[in-house]
Amino acid sequence: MINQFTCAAFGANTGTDECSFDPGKILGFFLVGPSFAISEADTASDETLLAKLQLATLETLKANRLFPVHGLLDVADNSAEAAQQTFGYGAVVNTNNGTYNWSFPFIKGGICLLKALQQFNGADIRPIFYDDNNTLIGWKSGAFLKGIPLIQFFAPKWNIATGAAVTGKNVTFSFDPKYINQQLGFYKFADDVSMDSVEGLRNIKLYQSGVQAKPVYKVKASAGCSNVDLHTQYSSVLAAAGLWVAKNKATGALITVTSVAVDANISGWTVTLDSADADYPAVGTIELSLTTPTLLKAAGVVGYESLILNIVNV
Amino acid sequence: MREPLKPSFNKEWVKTKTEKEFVDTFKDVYPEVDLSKSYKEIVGKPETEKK
Repeated sequence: MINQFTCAAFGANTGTDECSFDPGKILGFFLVGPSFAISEADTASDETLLAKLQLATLETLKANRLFPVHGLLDVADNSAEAAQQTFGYGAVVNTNNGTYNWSFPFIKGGICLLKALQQFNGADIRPIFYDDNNTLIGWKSGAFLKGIPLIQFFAPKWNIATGAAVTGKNVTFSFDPKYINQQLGFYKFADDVSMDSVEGLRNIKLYQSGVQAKPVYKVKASAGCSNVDLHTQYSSVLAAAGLWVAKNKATGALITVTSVAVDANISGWTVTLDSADADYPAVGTIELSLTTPTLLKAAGVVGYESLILNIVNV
Repeated sequence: MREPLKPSFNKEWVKTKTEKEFVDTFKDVYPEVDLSKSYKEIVGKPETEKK
């Protein structure tokens, strides 16, 4: 209708209950993509929601995966105050609500975690925080609890240690206040639920070792930033043809893995591919990896994702 | 003493091969393994030989 405008809603009732929700100190966060959503059904019980969060850490597609970060030690609140305008007659009014800008230092995970977080710089990644009351704090969008849309996620360079301070590693979130004020979404877990049980994945690095005679490849595997040799713990578990994936790098087509066996001489595995497979490149590059985090977990290799090993056939 | 080697074979792939093809494929890879036995364990005996 022409010339019709809408007045702002006239407030809300201000009666208070015996208890109320006050966010506590932020101890960690879960980074999620825009499509990640917690529904009412997901909050049927703590166990249901915890299982959803844990399963989300195993998602094959990183865009759908949940990346947990724990162990925040403090917060530097660099939020911008509401901007004000002063009129000539003396009246002062707020022109905006400012923005939140929180910076959290951490030690656990060290440079390794910092490097991983830096890879999210510039990405549309969103946090769901959790506080010291075991409460998830996010954005209520419709009937869902979602990650908070950010103006910027930034994991800056580390700062050098001094006589008075350890190496500085921080992660910073900048976002519009509306997402955790008018549109605040939260879920309170029982006090005995441990957020630490939602664990992030560690990378498995594969590398060739020993004599290679195509289509038979000798491969070793190590995990995490400390390169823990996986053969010690998972030699027989990973000696399973169904847990290995080979692709023709040029075409992306799968190549049949015909056999896998432990090779005690190299503390690794012998992986044999089907050289008669039409997708096997006699000359070219093969992408070898372990299967998805979910299938690895089902096999007993919990909390890992395999990186791709490029094998060049010449 | 080292445990006997027990390779994991892709069963679906093995079922597409004859015993000779299977043995020939792996005889140099796993010389210490009784490949004929492995093949039979995966493919089983033909129906006519069962009972």
